[in-house]
Amino acid sequence: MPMITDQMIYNNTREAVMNGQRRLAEATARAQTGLRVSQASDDPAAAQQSVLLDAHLQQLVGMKSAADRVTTGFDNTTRDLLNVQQVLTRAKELAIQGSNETYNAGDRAAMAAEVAGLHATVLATANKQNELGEYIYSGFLTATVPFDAAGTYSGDTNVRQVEVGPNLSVTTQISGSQIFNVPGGQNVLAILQTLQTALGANDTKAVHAKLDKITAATSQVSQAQTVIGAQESMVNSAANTRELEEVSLRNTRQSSIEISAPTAFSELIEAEAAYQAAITEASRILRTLDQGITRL
Amino acid sequence: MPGLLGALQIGSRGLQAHQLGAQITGTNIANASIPGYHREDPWMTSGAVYAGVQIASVRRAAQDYLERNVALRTAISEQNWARSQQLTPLQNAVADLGHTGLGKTLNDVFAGFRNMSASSNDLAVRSDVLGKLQNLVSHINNSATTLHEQQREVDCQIAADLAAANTQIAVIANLNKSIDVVTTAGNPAADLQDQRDRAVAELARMIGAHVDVENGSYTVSVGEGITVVKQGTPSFLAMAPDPVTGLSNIVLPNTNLGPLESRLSGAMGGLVAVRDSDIVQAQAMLDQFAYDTATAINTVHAAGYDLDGTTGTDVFAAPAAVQGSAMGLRLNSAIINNPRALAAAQGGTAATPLPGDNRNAVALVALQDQHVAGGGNQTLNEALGSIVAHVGGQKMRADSQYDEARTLLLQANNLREQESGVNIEEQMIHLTEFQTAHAATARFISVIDDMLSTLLQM
Repeated sequence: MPMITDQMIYNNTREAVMNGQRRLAEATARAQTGLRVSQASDDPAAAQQSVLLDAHLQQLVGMKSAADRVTTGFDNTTRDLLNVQQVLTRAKELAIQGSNETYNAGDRAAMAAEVAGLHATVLATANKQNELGEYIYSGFLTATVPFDAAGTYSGDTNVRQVEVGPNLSVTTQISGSQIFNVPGGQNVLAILQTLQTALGANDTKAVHAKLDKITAATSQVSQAQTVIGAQESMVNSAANTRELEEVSLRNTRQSSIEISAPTAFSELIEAEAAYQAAITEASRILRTLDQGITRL
Repeated sequence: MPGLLGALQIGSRGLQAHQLGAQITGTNIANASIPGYHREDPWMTSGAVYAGVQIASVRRAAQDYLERNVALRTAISEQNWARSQQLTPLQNAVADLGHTGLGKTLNDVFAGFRNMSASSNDLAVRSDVLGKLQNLVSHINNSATTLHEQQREVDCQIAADLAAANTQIAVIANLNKSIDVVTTAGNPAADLQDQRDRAVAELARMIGAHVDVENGSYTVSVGEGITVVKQGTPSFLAMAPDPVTGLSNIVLPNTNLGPLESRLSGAMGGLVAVRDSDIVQAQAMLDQFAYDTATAINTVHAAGYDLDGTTGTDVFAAPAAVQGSAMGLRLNSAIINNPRALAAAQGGTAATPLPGDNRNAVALVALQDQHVAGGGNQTLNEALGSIVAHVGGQKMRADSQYDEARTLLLQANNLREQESGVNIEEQMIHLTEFQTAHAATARFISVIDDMLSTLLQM
């Protein structure tokens, strides 16, 4: 009959208690961290996946940040374009008045002065700088003053594009050559300048001739607003795409490397019970051994 | 017929036999918890007719095949334990999943590029990008250094363990001689034999050991047939620096066997596996990752233009080769502390730079999703994921193998215990037997003494 020695009992008992301790420690760590996979060896495939998931999640954060910055820029540009439209509306009013024979030279001189102010407003807007000192409407030549008083454009036609969503990029601004002096279109500053000159010269015919150009310039600015609006729609659409993808990625991450609180605590309770049982059993066995020897 | 005097002799031999039996039983009880102790069983026989009882022999409870099994399982268990332990810092160095991991550092670089694409003229953003690039360089350097240092530390541990193993080899050889002397003189050598078995077990734990018994003498071999003890003669293993790596090879002097470390088991086998395989593989993967990262970013960056219209500038000092790329990775001195030198544009000249041009910054961002690693089959994040999976898989397997080996070792120890161990309750019962027999024999002697006294008074 195989013999059971005391050393065998001690070895087996110690092994059971140590195994129970180890499982309890592992269950405690999972419950505390909420992670099923806290190191690569816990589940190498899930760990590998988590590297990619974390990279994608951080990409989405960056895209959102870029989208927020772009949106702020669009808001500013939209305000600028509205201001320019208001200026052109007032310029048209002054041109209509100025072409009316009932006004005299003195009236037209006053109108010319106001148009000069409108011109300065548009010039300031066209040459606006951001907080970094970049000229917003210069294209890539952000250190170059885009417009002179005559509306001659010194920037370029390039625009920045940034990624605001998965595989979705938008332009961050619109160049001055699409607003204030469009090739084949209208030179807004030149129109205001010549209107000012015509009013100052008391030339009603010349003033009247500016009306169509002002109308065309207003339409040109509206067109620029449409372009901005389209980009804004894309940014909004990207927000929805980002949110959906983020939810999907976080769900995947949760199922692969995280552990839900109920599951973690359930495992912890189980491990605690198993450990207590091992301790109790070990204590009972050792007590029995001791009693047996004492009786003998 | 022996007569009364003969009866006294019977009583005397009986007392001695039962005293010796109690002494042997007491020794068993006292040594019950000593690891590797082999129980001794007194074999009593009755002598010639009317000669009483005697202890014919004291049998040492041991079976060679059980001892060899324990040595084998011990070696395997220690090998897996040593490897598992060393893989923990290795995993932390290159496969950390947390916020301080290499993945986070890499992602921060691309986040920096993304910020630069949205604000290419912002010097604060550019400085932040430089900071993140330096973090990446430092992280990769530190990981490579950690691997290098760990390899050196393991090498030192191997040297220390080899010295300890040679000590055990000497002990076994000496004990072979001592046991031979004692047994030749006809005396028992159980204590010496237990000492020798403990030395063999320790040697097995360190480097693995196989024992063949020839006429009571142990011939000990390691690493599949390399004899290190034959009778009273030890053959010590020695260290010899590898001419290429500078790490220590283990050799048997005065032989042409060459480096032996890959043939050893025990803790040494685990350490050698980590030093020569696991760390080397991790170093190679890290070097490849560093090389691919530097090359890919350099290629895109050099094609771009900085704020001063300069082109052709690398971000990293171009690595000469894959090997050593991780430890040697450095930022190009031209861009350190010079945020203007980051090439965010794809056009411009020195006379007319394009500060608003972000196209090259966009191209740098796009690198993160391009297959520029793994021979053109992986993105940089995927390459990093492969490293994580590889190292994590090695550790997981080592842990699993250790658990299995530990279970088999426990079984082997239990089997040996069944044959050689001490059951205290059984020994207590034997003790009671000897005590009772001794008391009865003493009573017998007392009766014979009374009978003799009666005769003498006649």
